[in-house]
Amino acid sequence: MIELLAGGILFLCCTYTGIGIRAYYRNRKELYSQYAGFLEHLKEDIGFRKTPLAQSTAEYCQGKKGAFIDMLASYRKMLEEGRVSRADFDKLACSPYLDKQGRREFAEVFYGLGKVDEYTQTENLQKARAAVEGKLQYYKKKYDTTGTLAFKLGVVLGIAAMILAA
Amino acid sequence: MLDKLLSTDIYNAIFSRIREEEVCELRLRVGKAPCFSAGGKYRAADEITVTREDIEYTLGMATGHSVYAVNDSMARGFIVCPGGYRLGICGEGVMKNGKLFTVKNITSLCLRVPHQIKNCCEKLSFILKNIGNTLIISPPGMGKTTMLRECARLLSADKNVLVLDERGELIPVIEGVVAVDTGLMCDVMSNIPKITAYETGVRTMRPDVIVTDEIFGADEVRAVRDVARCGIYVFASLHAKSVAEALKSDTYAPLGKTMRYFVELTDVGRVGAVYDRGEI
Repeated sequence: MIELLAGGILFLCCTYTGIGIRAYYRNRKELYSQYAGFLEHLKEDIGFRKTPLAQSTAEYCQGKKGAFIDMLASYRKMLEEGRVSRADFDKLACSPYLDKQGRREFAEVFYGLGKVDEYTQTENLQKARAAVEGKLQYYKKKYDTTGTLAFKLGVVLGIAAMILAA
Repeated sequence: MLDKLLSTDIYNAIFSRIREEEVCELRLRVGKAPCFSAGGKYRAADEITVTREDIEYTLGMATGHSVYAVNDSMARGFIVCPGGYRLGICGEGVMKNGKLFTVKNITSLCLRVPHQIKNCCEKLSFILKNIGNTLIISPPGMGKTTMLRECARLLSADKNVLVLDERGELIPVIEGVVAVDTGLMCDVMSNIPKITAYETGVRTMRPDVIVTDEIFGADEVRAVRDVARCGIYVFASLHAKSVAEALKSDTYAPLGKTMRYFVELTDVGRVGAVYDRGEI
């Protein structure tokens, strides 16, 4: 009985780890995907409607969830409170889904928003969007391969551990 | 509101000396002490120096951190901030197709605080009752705009008043909401070049009175005369030391025939003299 229980616990642990790893890859992919979408949205909004950043950000966030949307919520709060120093933006980009270079790039893009005229701004957004495309594809692939594999491995390992324990 | 527009250091330095409602104007210049004016006199908060970051902070807060959204206004040298404050901008111009496109590397800001002083027109009550074209004359910073704002409010009790506010200073309108009390029957056309606004306003709004700030140049004088010819009363202001000096100039001399009343301000918000056309 105890062996069966231990086997069950081991199965759950391994599967949960697999799910966790897959969720990490999925969240990272989602973050980059939403980031790319946000840059597109801003480019359109600034180029045609000249909507202020806080409003444009709020419009983009409507009905969406995720780590990037949480980041945008913090960003809006920063704008409102006037916390717009470089250090504030470095802190904003402190996401577990971003590597060191990613954090630096995010901080730079957000720091540069709203400081220039619409032509320069849309040009900068276009450059940032182009730069993120490679990463987005890479992380999508990573999720499809490594993320899915980690989940499957977790389940298989869990079953194996359960059999061995039983 | 000023606590949001100014960085903490600057705000504390200035408002440890004076109350917010007393300030008329603030001047921030990179590398210099911030200055403020109250009652027509300038003072400096000389224990601190304005940095480029302070300027960026104020500009960011004034534009909602969206410079691109107010670029057209910036190219004209100013932006209107929440609360009706007018922020004059001085820096390096960027030209595009021979026109000023934007301003970068901003080195100075001039923040003008709008005031609404009800009953500052007591000495003009005769003019408001026996209405006629009126020109308020004084050097800058004497309260012409405040007086015109109050005239618009009082006149709009029983007349259709149209305010032509090219620079968003006379009656500040923030996102479609008028930021000061304008009375019952007052319409505001803001941020439209005045020559265009005169024509459009007369045709579309059928005003009884047009109130406008700072007549500048021969084209505008001509436009004012055209409006007056249409039977619409004009209340306007002009930068000059005195009525005599203003009307000596070839450009503004025609106003001597168009305007009925000439009001001279001799000190901040103080009416020095009111002349009828016949007295000049």
